[in-house]
Amino acid sequence: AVGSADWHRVVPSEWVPVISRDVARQQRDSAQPPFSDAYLNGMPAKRRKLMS
Amino acid sequence: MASGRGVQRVLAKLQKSLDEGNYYEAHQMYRTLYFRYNGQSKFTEAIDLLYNGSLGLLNAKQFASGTDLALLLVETLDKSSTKPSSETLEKLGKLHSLMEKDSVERPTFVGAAVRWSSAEQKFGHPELHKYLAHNLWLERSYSESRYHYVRSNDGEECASMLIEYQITAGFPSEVDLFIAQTVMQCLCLKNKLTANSCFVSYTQQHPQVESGPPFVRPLLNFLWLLLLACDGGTVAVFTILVEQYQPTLRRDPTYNEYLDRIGQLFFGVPPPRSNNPSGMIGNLLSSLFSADDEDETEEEADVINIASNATAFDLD
Repeated sequence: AVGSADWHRVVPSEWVPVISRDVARQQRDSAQPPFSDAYLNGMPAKRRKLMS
Repeated sequence: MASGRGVQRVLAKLQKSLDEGNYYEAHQMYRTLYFRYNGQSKFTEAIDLLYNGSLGLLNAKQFASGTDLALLLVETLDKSSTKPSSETLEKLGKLHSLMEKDSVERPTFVGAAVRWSSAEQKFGHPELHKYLAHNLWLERSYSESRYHYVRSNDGEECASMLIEYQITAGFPSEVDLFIAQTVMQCLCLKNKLTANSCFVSYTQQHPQVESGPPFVRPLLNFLWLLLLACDGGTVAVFTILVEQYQPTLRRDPTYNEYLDRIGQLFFGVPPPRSNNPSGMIGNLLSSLFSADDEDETEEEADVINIASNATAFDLD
């Protein structure tokens, strides 16, 4: 992608390994399972209605 | 109008009624005295009377009459333009703790007290929110407790409550989501100190969070870096964080909406082109920023909140 590594120069240099590792890690993440009621209760009312 | 002697006589009778357990009479006499003080603009006296009366009646488990006096107390604070002080906020917290959990009037009391306390802090006084949150935590009304903690100044206590809530009622897949939701809501309310201390305590104390930073879970790293960026970070740094963590942020569709708001508040990102708050985002934010609106229907509440929101957003 165009300028895919440009961000390396923008963020503090000590962040680069952390973010890079997380970019790779996120590719392996599986889909989010359904939320618990406890978690849904923290959402604003309108969104909660749409999610459940 | 009533002479001082008249007041003394009623006070003596009042004490007698209380001693004899005639709470109905006592309640009526509290009201009588309140109207006299009020008529003479003796607000300090009225406030003391109503607090002591409410406290005494609630302690005697006279919930309806105790709460009635508590509502009059808030009304008087409001009418007399009394400024919130630590002492008064603590007293309101005390009365709240004695009211019945499922009382119909308690939400009315909370709404009125928060409104009165928001003269200078637009979402309500953080000290009052802390007392309310603490009482609700003891009752295990976790979700309501969370609402008040994100508006309080006690991030550490918020984290302890949140850990207990997550472990007892959340799923293991939500360990990082619980803190993300709370941190982002605090930031949307411009409550950065609470966001920060809550994040630090939660990640240090939650038994399922591995030591960090950096953390094993990308979402926790995102929050850690976002909080750092909120202290003088540039819009470019903010944008990169939001881009690089998109797969994680999409786990909960509300996160990108919170982040739009956080971008505006902390990084000077302009609001979206269509400034029309009637869409999803307007509704989402308005219900987050609303005061306690449990006594309104949702539709009414949305209209009111959108209207008040327009000003709330501009005042910084």
